[in-house]
Amino acid sequence: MSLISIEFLCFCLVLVLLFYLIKGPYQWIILLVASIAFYCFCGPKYIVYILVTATTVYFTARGIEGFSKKRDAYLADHKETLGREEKKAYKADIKSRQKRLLFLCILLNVGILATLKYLDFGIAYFNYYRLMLTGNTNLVLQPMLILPLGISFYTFQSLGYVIDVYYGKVKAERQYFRFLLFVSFFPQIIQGPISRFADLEPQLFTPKRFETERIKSGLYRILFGLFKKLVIADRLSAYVTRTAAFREDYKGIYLLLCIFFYAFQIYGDFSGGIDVAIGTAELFGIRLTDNFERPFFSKSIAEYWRRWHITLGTWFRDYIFYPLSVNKRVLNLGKWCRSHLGEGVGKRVPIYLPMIAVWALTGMWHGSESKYIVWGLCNCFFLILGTEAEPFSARIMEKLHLRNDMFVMKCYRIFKTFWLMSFLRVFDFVKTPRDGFCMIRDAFIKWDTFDWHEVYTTLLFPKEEVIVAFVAIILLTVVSLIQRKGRIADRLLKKSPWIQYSTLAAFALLILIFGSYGLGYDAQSFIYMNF
Amino acid sequence: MLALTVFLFWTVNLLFMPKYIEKDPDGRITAEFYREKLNNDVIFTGSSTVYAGINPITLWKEYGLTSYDRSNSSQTAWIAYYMIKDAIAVAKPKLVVLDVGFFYVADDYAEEAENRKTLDDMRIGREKFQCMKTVMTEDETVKDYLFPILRFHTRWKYLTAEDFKYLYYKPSVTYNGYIRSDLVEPAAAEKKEENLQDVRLSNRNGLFLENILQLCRDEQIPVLLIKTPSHDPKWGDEFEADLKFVADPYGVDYINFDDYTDEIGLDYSKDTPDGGGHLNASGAEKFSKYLGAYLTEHFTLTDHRNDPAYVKVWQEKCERYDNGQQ
Repeated sequence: MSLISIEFLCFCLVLVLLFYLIKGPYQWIILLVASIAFYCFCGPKYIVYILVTATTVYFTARGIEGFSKKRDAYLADHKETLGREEKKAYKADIKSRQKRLLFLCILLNVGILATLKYLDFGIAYFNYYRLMLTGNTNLVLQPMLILPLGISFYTFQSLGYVIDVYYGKVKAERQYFRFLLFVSFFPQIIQGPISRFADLEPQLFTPKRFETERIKSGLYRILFGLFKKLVIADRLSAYVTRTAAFREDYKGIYLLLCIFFYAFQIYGDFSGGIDVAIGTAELFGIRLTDNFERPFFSKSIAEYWRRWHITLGTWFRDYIFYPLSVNKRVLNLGKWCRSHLGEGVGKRVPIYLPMIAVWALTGMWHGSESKYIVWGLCNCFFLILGTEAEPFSARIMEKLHLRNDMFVMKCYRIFKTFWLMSFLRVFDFVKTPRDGFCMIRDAFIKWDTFDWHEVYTTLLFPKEEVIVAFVAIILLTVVSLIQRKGRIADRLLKKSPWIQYSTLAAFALLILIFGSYGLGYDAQSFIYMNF
Repeated sequence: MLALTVFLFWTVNLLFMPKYIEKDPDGRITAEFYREKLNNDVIFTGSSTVYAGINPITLWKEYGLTSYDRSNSSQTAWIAYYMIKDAIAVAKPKLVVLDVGFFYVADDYAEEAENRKTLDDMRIGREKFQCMKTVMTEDETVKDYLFPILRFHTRWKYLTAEDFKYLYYKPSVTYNGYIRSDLVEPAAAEKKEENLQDVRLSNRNGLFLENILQLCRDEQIPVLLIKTPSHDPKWGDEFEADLKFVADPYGVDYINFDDYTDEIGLDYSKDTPDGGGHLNASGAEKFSKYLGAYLTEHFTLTDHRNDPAYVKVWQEKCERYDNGQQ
């Protein structure tokens, strides 16, 4: 069941009715049953994977907490009899057991994720290199594994939880089914956002009363998400797919247009899906973490990544970057570099090394092909370049009497960041990293060959569709500008009922009429659904 | 608010649905059937040859018969079954005349455009749902029929003044399902004897033909199977035998009016608008007179020309027809 289907609409409608009819502390059971049912609708045989993750993580967290309790009890009981060293040794022993338990849990779940995601890719590479190097034509058969729905999202969310339990940031959930709801909560299972236990748990289990304002707010969010997905993303995908398929035949502005459109396609697709997820959760009184904060208005790459896929970024920051930065081996390497290669290098190693690791992993998270790793490392390169070039650009600006808070400079920086990130996105829709670099190169040549007529005819993107696409992009930009002053839903709810109703109706009609769905359109699934 | 939403949604649906007023009026045949004020004794079903070749106005003028062409372009046996079922549910006729001119198509034949013309205006009911499920192409869905905007929203770039003009009210464009054509395009001297010589009545066509005959038997409605005259296509004797094989056990006659071209007086150099595929107004006039004579002779049908209620209604229809009005 897709998030953008009438079936899902009916599913939510029934659920909302049931949810508010069953008042009190049992509402979460409705959500759990709905989440399991939703997962089963999407592919019943894959439920086993999410159950394995939920179960192993649940017991690991309980185990880790059990060790902590045991330690605390033991130390309390032997407060007088144990010496300082003995206490330290005992604590270290418990910590080591907890660490081993955590490690096993991470290994198992990352192993499942990696196997499902990368095994086919690995075998393909193995076959290729064996053939090239030894001439051996006996191919190892690829099992052609299918990724269970939302596996990357629920795996990361669950691992985040167990790591938090390990560090004592949250208490382990005692009830298995309550934890299962946290892992499988249906609005976010397809493509996030990746929630934190501390944020979601209190909301999931607090009884909710029916509030019209909250329902309206959820509906606004859902409609805006559908607008982004159906009117913008799916419309643009027609041009992007066709141009990318005939990349060799088109250069210059055709490719620039393709890159420009893809930036909005991926944004509309992903943030649209997230809006639907957040809006749906809001219908049940649950406010999920925002995953986007108008990223196309970012003035630097670092800022862009703080505003795009926020929950993944913070996940990598908290669970990969920070632990790596303070890792003894990395710190020792930094010290070694400082003494052998100088202060500058020594200072940078403990920062840049985890950064490279994070970006390589981010690339891998997006897909198994090498192009994603290249994409991740390119992002890392430009982030480091931005940091390193900062003093240099500051000097130039000073000489030119320019300041970052000047309107022109803001526009320039937004423009630069948007295009740089859009160019890097090219790796998403090409087959190989080489194709990506060629496409970027080709976008800057033969600008004089561009002809709109070619776009309308051969590239099958009629004039009317182009006009609607641009108008929709402008509308999205205007809405983003308004969002700077706060959530649009909150502002709308302060207006008269007629304005509220008109806005809802207008968006519903826009989607109904200009949405790219049904016969005549190739229905697109969410791009991030496969990550 | 709810009422306004429903009204808005309904209006948008109406706006985006094709109107079939100035073009493709066959798309209005189903809708106009429900506008009939009085029962029609004879229901004609079949493909485009029926709505082009059988003129209920002539049948009324000549024999006082009340009839409706419940036909559609490319009406298959399975669509015909549901059209008859629906017609019976609305008002039980005294005779069903079933044209088998399109019963040679393959079992998997399905055309979305024709399905929409047939089904969009069909009243909501069991027959409609059953028909939908039977006739839909692989890409079509029930929800597209229940909420036509989901299918027709792509028409935003093709909307014309016609769509706004006939938003809430659509005038009648057929004459009890008959669509008049005054064009003349002579047929070639010889009939095209294409690939239909070896065609046989397929399983699905046979099954639905039998379903129709059984339905009419259950409802005690006499049936006549016909092939409305056309210059082509022409099928072989085996197909005719297949039809008779199904019809005979039900005691239903089958007449291929292609065999009576001379008796009817058809002249394919002037009685066809498209080289022989269909009949034009003059051809339809001739065939309707001949058919009417046959029907009154072989079936118990009432001449309503002395019934004031019918006269009033049909006089209006005749006037509209004679004036060539919509």
